[in-house]
Amino acid sequence: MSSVITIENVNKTFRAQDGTGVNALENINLTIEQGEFVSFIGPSGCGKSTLLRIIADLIKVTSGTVTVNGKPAEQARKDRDYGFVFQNATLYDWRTVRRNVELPLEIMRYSKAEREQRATEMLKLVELAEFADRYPYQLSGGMQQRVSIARALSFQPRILLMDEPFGALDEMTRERMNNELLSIWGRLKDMTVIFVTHSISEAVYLSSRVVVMSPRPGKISRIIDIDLPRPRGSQTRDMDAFFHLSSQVRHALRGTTPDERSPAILHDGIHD
Amino acid sequence: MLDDALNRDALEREASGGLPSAGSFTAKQQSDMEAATGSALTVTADDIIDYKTRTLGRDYLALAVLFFLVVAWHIQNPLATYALQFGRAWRNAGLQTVMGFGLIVLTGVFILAITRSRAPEDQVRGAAKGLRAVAVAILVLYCALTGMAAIFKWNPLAAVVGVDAVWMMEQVDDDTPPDVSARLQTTLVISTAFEYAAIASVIVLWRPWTRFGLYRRAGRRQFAAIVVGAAFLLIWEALILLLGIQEFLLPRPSVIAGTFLETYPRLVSAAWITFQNAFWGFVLGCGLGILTGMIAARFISFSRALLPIAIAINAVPIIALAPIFNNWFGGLNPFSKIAICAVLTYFPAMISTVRGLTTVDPLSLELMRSYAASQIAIFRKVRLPNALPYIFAALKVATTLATIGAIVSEYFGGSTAGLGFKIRDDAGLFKYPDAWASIVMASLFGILFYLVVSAVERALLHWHVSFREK
Repeated sequence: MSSVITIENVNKTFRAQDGTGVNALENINLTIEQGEFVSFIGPSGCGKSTLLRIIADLIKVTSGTVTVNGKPAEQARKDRDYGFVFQNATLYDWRTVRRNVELPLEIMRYSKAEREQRATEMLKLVELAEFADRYPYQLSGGMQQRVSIARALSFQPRILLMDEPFGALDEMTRERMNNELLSIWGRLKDMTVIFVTHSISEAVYLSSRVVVMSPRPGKISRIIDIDLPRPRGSQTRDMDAFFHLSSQVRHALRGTTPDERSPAILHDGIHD
Repeated sequence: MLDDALNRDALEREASGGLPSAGSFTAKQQSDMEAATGSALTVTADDIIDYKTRTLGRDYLALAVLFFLVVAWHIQNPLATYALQFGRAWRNAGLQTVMGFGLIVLTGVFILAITRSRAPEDQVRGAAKGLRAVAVAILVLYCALTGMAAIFKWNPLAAVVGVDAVWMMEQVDDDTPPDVSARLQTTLVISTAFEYAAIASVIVLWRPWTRFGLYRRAGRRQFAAIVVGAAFLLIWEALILLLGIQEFLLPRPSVIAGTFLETYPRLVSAAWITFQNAFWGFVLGCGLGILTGMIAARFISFSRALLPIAIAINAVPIIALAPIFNNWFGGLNPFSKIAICAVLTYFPAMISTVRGLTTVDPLSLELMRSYAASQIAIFRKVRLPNALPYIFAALKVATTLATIGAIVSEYFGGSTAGLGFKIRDDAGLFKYPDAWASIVMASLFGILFYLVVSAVERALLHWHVSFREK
């Protein structure tokens, strides 16, 4: 395994209107290997989305270095090394589902035939092939988000960055989307996923590693390896190990140590 | 584009089956539809239309096609153009050309909207399919014959019958050789047969009898407006009779309507002159407005400096400049009117373009950044489509502004034609019902102008939230 993303001594300070600085991220160090599924979890204001955007070069670091595929983050963005999925599907209302998936391909100057073929393939992957000619507003929220995943994957990036992609969905849809994401990730060999969430169960269920972050200033408080067997499914959620790991994450978030005699209340997420 | 818009509701219906949250049907509507399909003894399944998600778009289109068919028939033969009241309205050569193009474009859109529709009720088989093909063929032929006559002033039918093209342009009178007028008569009979066949074809394609439910719903919706409108006219009529108001102060609506019906051929000619000024002013003003808006939006600091000034100028009653413009360009020069309309429409178009291009969802821009998209790609794929609803809102306002500008500048200026001139002239001669009839014609043209722009908007922006089915 080789490291795909290396984050060294990253600091990020946002300038507020009154001139004072807000320390969004302080001294972040993290290495992510190829094919990993890493989740960033933490309460609001811990800088998890900021860190993801820094990896994507959507915002710049104040100090420190970010290396993606052995290149500076800016070069990796220009080389289109990653796909990004936002919290909102961010589909363009005026394009059909198919043309939304083709959007990055158009910008990257793929031929028309190749665009069509890739879009068809990707829509099959997210099981929306029969909705190709609909407009986004005709789809449900979950379907829209699947389109946006198809769009992010359409140019076959080796890295997928996801910023709370299922945060706006209800619990049932979210669990189904989690399964679909895992099956897509399973089929695309060696794709690296970084997934920002504020749901403990989602982070544990999906990830191979969970990065727990704490706010003010934003920093990594713990990294927890999730060694649950794959493929994962509904049986995974009933495993003792799943409960145990969820409780570890919860304690890491609260800054406490797990107490075996009084198990933490399960199933609750972090509410903003 | 338009047929996409027409198809959309059908798509929604398909979608509702597999789509729990995006479905546009309640369980009751679903079961109603199933029941209707099940009991389809007298009506075939194809004839069942879900009226709740339909619009009257196709009906307006069909009516417009019928109107243009009839107008083209009046244009293509001098016997109709000069001898009939309705024909006399279309004597202007420029107007004839426009009506010819209008017929061809509208019929084309109409045929495509129906034949390319994927709505279930538009799928026909067997004999109905043959009938539809015949109807399309007749319409295409009719458009070719009369459209050509209207646009190129050359009637193929007359050529076949043996009438020289010269006679097609002139009024038939005592000087016309008798054999020519006889042949013109023959041409007229043949083209009338064609006209009836074309009208029947439109109705075959339109199938209004499958859409009665839609009309009932539309009637119910518009009922209040119709009642209020009728009551307004009745009260107007009654008050003038009861209070004995003199005609030059305010004529009765029935008198205005009578004058209108009597003089509308001349009013159409006058309105055509006014409309041309309004239209070219609209094109010039909005074109420059959109162009400079694009440039201004590209340079944010520039547009920040420019926008307050533009808004301030927009608040100036530009129409008051009309006499000055007439002085600059000459009262008889149509450009003085065009310039007023252009200045009137420029600022709304420019301001809206800047707003539309700069009011973009930040996530959409971040997405483009993640693709390392060029500025040109961002402009074409995000900013411009995002700006279109803003631009069309401005264009719709501009149609009204341009109509007002054209009329008022004629009113001020030394022009010798047009509605504004006619209103002033008639009022000066105490022909108040005539002036009022001109006002009615001016509103008709203004409304028509607005509706045409709205129709284009609807066809292009069918995805926009304001056009989605409720």
